[in-house]
Amino acid sequence: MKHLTPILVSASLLLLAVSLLPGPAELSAWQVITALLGQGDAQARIIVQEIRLPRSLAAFVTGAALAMAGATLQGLLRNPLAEPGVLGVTAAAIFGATLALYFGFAAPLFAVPASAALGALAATLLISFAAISIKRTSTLILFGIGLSSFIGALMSVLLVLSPTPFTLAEMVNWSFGSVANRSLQDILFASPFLIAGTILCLLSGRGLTFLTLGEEIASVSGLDIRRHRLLAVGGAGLLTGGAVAIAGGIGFVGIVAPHIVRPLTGHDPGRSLVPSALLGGCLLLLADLLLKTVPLFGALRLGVIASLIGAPVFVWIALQEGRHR
Amino acid sequence: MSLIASKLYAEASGRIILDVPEVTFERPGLTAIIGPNGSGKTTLLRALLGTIPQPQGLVGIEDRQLSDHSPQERARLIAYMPQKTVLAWPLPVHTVVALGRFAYGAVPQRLTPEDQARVKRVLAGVGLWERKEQSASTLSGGEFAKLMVARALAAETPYLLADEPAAALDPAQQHQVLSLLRKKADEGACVVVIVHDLSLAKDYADHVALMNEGRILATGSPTDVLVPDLLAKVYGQAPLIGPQGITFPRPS
Repeated sequence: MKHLTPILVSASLLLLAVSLLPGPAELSAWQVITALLGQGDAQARIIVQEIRLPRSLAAFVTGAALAMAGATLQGLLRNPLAEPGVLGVTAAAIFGATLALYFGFAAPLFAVPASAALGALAATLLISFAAISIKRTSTLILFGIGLSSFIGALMSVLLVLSPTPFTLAEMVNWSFGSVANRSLQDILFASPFLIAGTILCLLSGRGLTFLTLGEEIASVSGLDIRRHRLLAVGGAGLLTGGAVAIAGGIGFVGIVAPHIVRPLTGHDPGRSLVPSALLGGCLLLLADLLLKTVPLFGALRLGVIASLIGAPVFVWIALQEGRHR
Repeated sequence: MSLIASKLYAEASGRIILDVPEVTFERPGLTAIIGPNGSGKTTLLRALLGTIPQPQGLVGIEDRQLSDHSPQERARLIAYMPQKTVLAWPLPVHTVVALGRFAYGAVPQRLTPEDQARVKRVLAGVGLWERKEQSASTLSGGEFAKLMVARALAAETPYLLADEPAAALDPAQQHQVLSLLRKKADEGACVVVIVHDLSLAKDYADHVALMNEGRILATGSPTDVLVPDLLAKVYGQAPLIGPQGITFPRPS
């Protein structure tokens, strides 16, 4: 589809703008605009600039990062079901972040994003090595489920051992996934990981397209498989770590967004990276908009909404795959 | 000009699956590798390509060791068609062929005019230009085989190794695929192709290499190698060789 990226950029900007409108404090559109520009009364400015804007940006950035990580992993593993959440990468990132909180490292502000990224990188590396010997799609997914469960158990151990109720609450909070009450600083401290991850993923794009033919042809035809795997794995790991550092565990964006984008980009995994990221951002903005506007959903968290919508889509994609093979 | 390899060796679970002290493939020319299942034909190609590491072995192209080349340089020298290619994603036909230009730095969606011209030429050459926008997953077996040939041809390498490119195709399609490879050899390339149909080897090859139990048993012109007693030794029974082709009698 031509103009896919410009369309998605426009949609993203529109959704970002719309997402600033609803909220408990009833502000008019005009109040929001003036507050955004640093004008108007002080209360509206604080609400828009320090509550609503960071929340919306966090939702968009998290969705974009997870979707690009998903698209990259799908290309690398040649598997439409690969996704940071399904493969246990998100769980590892949460575990990393929780570990930092547990040991009270949260004070130096880079500690949580860094340990989340470290956890994600370790898991991604493990999966990519497992993928060398695992040829069947379903086996790899099972591997991810096993990894997720194992890390889940480690999490429980950590929770039981948590030194104070406050730490416990913070650790539990992390695993749910939410973008409420985020500050621009949270995004800022995750941004080095997100930027580095994006660069690595984009660098791996051409190789991802080429991997469509399989690793044997790709390596004989001049792709340095090892270097490429490091690029893709590093990129996906950093992006997932950064996303988890901002929002905690949010599943399935990484699978739904690339799945919608793929047919629109001629199924070229390299070319689907940027549109997937944009759509992933839009999807989480939409989900967060649901939270803010539908009274029934108000008490839920973004991670829950994402799974409520994403998990059935995941099952549907899996069934489609099963029919093809 | 030729592809010369020596001391190629491979083992699998304690059994020797490849033991080739020396082999030469002339350029230009089409060499057919024949031999029963499990005789080491695919392993030989992989050893030549280096995907099965050869610590003792040497593979030289035009007086230079293959291992001295960068992966990209190597990819511009040798193209490879594995036995079975499964596309992970249903890419359009022209994108698959554009992937053949990878070693030249091509990005499928943003091809240079020269790359575009090459993609068009090879696609037209295999008769798939009209279907360039179609998803490769909707092609028939024969069309897909020709698409794989087009992908390999797009790399414009002086050497081409093809592992059973005509497997599981109807006779007419088999001839079409072999004709494409024959044309490549006639244009000055060295083509090494694994075939099971001995008649195809007889019809299309300049040289035939007969493999058995990991070794090359005989090499030479088709008339030298495709003889009853040699083939009987390898296939367990003597073939019927006539002007119409080479067939094996029904086991009694």
